[in-house]
Amino acid sequence: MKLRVQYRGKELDLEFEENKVKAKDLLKAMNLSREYAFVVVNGEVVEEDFYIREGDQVRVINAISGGQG
Amino acid sequence: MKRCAKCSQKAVVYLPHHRLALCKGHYLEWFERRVERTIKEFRMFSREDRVLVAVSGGKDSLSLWHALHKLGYQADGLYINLGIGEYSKLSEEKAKKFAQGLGRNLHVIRLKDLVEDIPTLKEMEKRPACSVCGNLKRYYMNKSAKELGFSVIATGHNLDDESATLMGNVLSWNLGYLQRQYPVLKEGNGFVKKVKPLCFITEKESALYALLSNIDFVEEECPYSVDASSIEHKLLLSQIEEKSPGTKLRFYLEFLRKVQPLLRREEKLELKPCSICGEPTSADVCSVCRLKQRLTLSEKGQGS
Repeated sequence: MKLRVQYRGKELDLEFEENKVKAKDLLKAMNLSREYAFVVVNGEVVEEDFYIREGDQVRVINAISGGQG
Repeated sequence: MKRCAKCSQKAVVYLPHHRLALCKGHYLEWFERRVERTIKEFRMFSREDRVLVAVSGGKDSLSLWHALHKLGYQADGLYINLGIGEYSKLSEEKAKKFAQGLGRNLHVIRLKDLVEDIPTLKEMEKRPACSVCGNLKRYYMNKSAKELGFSVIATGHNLDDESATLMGNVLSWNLGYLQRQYPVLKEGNGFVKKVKPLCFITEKESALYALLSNIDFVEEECPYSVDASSIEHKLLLSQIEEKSPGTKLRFYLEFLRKVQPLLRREEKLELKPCSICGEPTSADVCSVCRLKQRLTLSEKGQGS
């Protein structure tokens, strides 16, 4: 299945072999850790085992920021 | 499905290092209580103080400002426009929109008007852009707070920032920086009191608070911070944290509890007013005035 993901002000198109993927698989595919990233589906923060389906509005938040404060 | 530890409704947030699952309402309450407790524990400020929040438009500073406002503190914002193209334009827009929604003042200053923008300074200076930028932000935060009559500056530094900075300072045993790494830097010697009320909140907790409070924050990263060593340190610490939840908090807390008191006994930094601008410095001329002198020389060099 295909997913369009909002990530840091951009839209990414990702493709998966399965027709539903867990939130944690999406983070893994984006090389992100649950320690600092999470998935928002249709406006709701979801658990790692939540299944995302084609057509869902998906946003991934990566909380890591760098530089000096 | 995890249930909220307070009300048994569906949990939206799980905090492994606290072994705590919470629903939206109880998470927001937990976050604000944790901020309030940190403010009180370190005697950061009271409701009588005028607090200036250093606002970047990102999740940490906006979450901090939002939480302080909800907790009843008198907090206004200071936005420093760094002149980094679209990134600065977007950050300023979001900071202004947020201030409007909150009904509080946002003071805006521009580095371009005061010294020079970061892209120009990056080309001129040998130091990393983050070092120049941090130096200038600290200088103008202090100067602006004094000029605007604020008694406290609050920054959005979170637990990940503090533990990554600690790691960097320990790796090079930078005792001077370790001495000054504390949630409160007292006023005096020309400095306004500086505090970090989010120092026990992780970056993810701060992003979750922003999202669940419907705060529109800048998600884009500063283009100059991509290779920052602080990000490397954060990624390393997150790998340890994943295997052993609570490591980051313990690393920072135990530093504050066991090491900081020993280091602070040794602190003997003598400060005096800069002979040009009057801001506090350990040299005759402060680092920002020296930077301005180099900038003038560089411009003259280009002109000749």
